[in-house]
Amino acid sequence: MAEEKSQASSSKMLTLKASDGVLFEVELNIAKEMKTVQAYIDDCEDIETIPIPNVLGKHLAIVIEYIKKTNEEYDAEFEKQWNMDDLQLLLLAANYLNISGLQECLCKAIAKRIENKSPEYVRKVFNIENDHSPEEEAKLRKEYKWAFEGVDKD
Amino acid sequence: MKRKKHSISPTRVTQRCNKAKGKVVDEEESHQLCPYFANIPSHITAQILLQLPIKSLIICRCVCKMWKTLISEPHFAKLHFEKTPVSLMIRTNDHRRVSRTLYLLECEPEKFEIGSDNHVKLQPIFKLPLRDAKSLLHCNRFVLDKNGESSNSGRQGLYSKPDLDKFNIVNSCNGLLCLSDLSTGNPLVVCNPVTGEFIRLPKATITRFRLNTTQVRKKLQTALGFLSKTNEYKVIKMLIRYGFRSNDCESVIVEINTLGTSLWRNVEVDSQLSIPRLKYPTCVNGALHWIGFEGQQMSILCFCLESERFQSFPSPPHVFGNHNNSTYGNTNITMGELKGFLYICDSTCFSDVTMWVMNEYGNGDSWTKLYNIDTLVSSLGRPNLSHCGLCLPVKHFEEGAAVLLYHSCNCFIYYEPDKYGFKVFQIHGSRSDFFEIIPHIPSLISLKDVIKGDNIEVQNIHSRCAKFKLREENETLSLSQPNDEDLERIRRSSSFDFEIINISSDGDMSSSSSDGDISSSSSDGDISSSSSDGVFFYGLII
Repeated sequence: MAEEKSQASSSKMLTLKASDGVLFEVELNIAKEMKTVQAYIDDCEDIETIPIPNVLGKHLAIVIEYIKKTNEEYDAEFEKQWNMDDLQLLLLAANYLNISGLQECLCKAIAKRIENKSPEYVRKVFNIENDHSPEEEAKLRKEYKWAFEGVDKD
Repeated sequence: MKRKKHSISPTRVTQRCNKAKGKVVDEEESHQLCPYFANIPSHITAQILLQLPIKSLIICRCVCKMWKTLISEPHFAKLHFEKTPVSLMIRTNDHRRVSRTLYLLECEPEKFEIGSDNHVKLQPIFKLPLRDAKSLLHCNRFVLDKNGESSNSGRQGLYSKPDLDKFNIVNSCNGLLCLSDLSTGNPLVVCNPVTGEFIRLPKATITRFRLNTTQVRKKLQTALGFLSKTNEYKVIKMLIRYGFRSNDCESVIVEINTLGTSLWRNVEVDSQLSIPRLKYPTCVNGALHWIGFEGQQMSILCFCLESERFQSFPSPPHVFGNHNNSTYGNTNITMGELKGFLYICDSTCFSDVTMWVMNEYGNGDSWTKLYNIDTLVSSLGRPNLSHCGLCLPVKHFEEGAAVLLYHSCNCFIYYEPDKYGFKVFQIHGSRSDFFEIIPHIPSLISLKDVIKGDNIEVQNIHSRCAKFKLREENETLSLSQPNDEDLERIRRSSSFDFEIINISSDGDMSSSSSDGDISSSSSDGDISSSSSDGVFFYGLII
């Protein structure tokens, strides 16, 4: 994808390489927001290109843009743009790169999308198999009957 | 938690895709990657789940066993509790009813934007335990079949006896409620209404309590407190004996029970200690506080839960000072807690409600006035102060500060000055006009994790009396926004009309003079029915 131009003439640039080979040139202070990258730099000082094996270029681009732009308004609009699959992959990327702000933002976004939804819907989203026995599930549903009323349609 | 059968790890997919197609992975292929999300570390799942409200969390327990375990973990419950904002539990206030149903009102302003034609059902709904389920069942034996289910003739519900089945809610502390006997004030049960768990407090062990009641007036004061240092809940019980002829406290016996233990321990008190009429028990910083009313004098009584001693506590000088020597008897001061801060609200003059917070715990000089509220409220007229006109803090000032005012029988005002201004809403659906409001933070923390020792049995209403429906429980409460007609009716039923201020729907205010018209309260429209003041706690905190 696009290469970022450095804004400050004297700030050091770093190259990040996504899992699909896409390269990103970012300023050091942006890269440092990713604590995983920071640890990498601390370990080997003169490194120029850092491999990010778990994250696709598409998602790494989104993460970098988030770090650059983040503020309250941006956060609110940010999460609306992505579908559930992207959100989940971004969350895993944020977790791997250890960016707590982005992680929190994405967790909130995903939570909002499963709020007041049926268990079947949640299972589909997270691709989880139901391992409760029918009796167990019936018991859980009966105990808190009110919680299962007024649930949003899938 | 099992992954679905055909899920694959990411690196393998990428490699396969790249090998097969030799190009950059596009939108479609990333969809194939999502199956591996089932493998997310549990701490990330926990992070997502922590953002959910209680209702959704309970639904998520059904998703799979791993999630159920995760949500039921004490550590998770504690973290979730710390993030949950204050909500209100609403209970009908009617002496003819047992009122074991609590409706949760979450103070989110978006929820109050309902429109006057819409009624939004009030949920979630919790139930308190019954005082004596056995005797209730016995009385209703003709309407229950052998399984204990209501037979056809009992479809409407069981008969209940409020005087025997009803609990008084003393206070809410750290997610638990303390319930007491309606008439004597004797603390009986501590429960978590969300999980349905409850424990019965040990019976009084002291025979001193059985005094010759014709000679001596006595009163029981009780409260539930929480000491985070030791993660203990404690219930305090004060038996105050009044002098034969005077109204002053003559002696007091104080006992304390650490939740989970089976004894009431005696607390040493200064023999000179005189306990005034106490209201609004509030637990902050490991200590219980009450506002004491002694004639016209007001003070704050403080009991430290760690040292188990009473200690002095500075009261807000301006607030109490103004009223302490006034002959105007109708003071309306409440106390509450929000996010570890002590709040005092003065709504004596309802056209000028003020709120104070103690910024630095224990430091009398740090009592700070937060704000005055004097606009919308006065436009609705002066509320009947014995039931209403109280204020509750629902959002901390750091988060933008919001207040809930209980104006008249079922009319509430939510006020968040920075963002939303005023929002008026009403509660419908109950034949009883009055409600009791208890500020409460719903919690999934299990009683089993907080009680010390194994002596006390933790019971659960779900295994016993939740399935029985009482006759009074055939109603559902809902929220609505009053239209102009309703607002007018509220104004007319209030005692006085101040300068009428018109409110347009977006909270804008334009004032029109009231040309000297002070409509007297029409006694048939008056909403003050028999009040049982002092028995119920109307918490309003700002």
